[in-house]
Amino acid sequence: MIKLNSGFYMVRCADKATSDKVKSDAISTVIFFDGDGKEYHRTIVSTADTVEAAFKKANELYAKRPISWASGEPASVMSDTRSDRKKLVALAFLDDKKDSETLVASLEDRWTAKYQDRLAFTRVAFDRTSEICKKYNVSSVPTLILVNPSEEDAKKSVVDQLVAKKELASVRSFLVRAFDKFDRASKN
Amino acid sequence: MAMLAVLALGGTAAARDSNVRWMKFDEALSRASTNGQPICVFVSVNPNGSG
Repeated sequence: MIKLNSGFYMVRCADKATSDKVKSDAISTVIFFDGDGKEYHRTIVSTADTVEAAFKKANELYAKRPISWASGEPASVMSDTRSDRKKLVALAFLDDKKDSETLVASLEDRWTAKYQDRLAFTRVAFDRTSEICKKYNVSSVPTLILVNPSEEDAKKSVVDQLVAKKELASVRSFLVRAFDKFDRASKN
Repeated sequence: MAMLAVLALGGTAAARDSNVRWMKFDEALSRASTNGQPICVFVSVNPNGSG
């Protein structure tokens, strides 16, 4: 038997303060918020079936998403991504060890998955003697570098970089910070 | 209808997990911001509208 509410923080809204915060507009509504506190689903429930359907939908909408790795060399990915001013290229220097798997898992997590739409992921096999490692000064694995493809100069193109295995919350903070920086720079 | 929903929620969610813990919205937001776990708010009374 599936525990529908496992994996959710459960809140009962019966007071004006909470009602204002969640903008409740009807009784018997279930409202779902993601880890950033953003509402992503709301529906009215009345029976066991409708409650079950609500949780099922909420789990579908806020779900882990596998990374779609770009094919081709990093240079061609940069070139292909250049026309999309909202996107960054994510150069992921990885090996087959657990720390690399952990980084990829964090990027695929339901909390960070929404950033995938703004990233062109390129998997780079880590080899400290390779040209691309030298170009971006990569000396340890895993390393994730977010690159602005519109910027020709390699050093200037680096928006931010994450080195070594980090837990999910750190990866999410890294992405928030990097896109904030990128978006602010794009406006100027 | 609200009573039906409470029963439905209890029957399908809470009752299956005797350890279910209801919390304040602010506490849920605070916890969610550390691990990305989603929040489910059930509107059992709606001071802003119907009910």
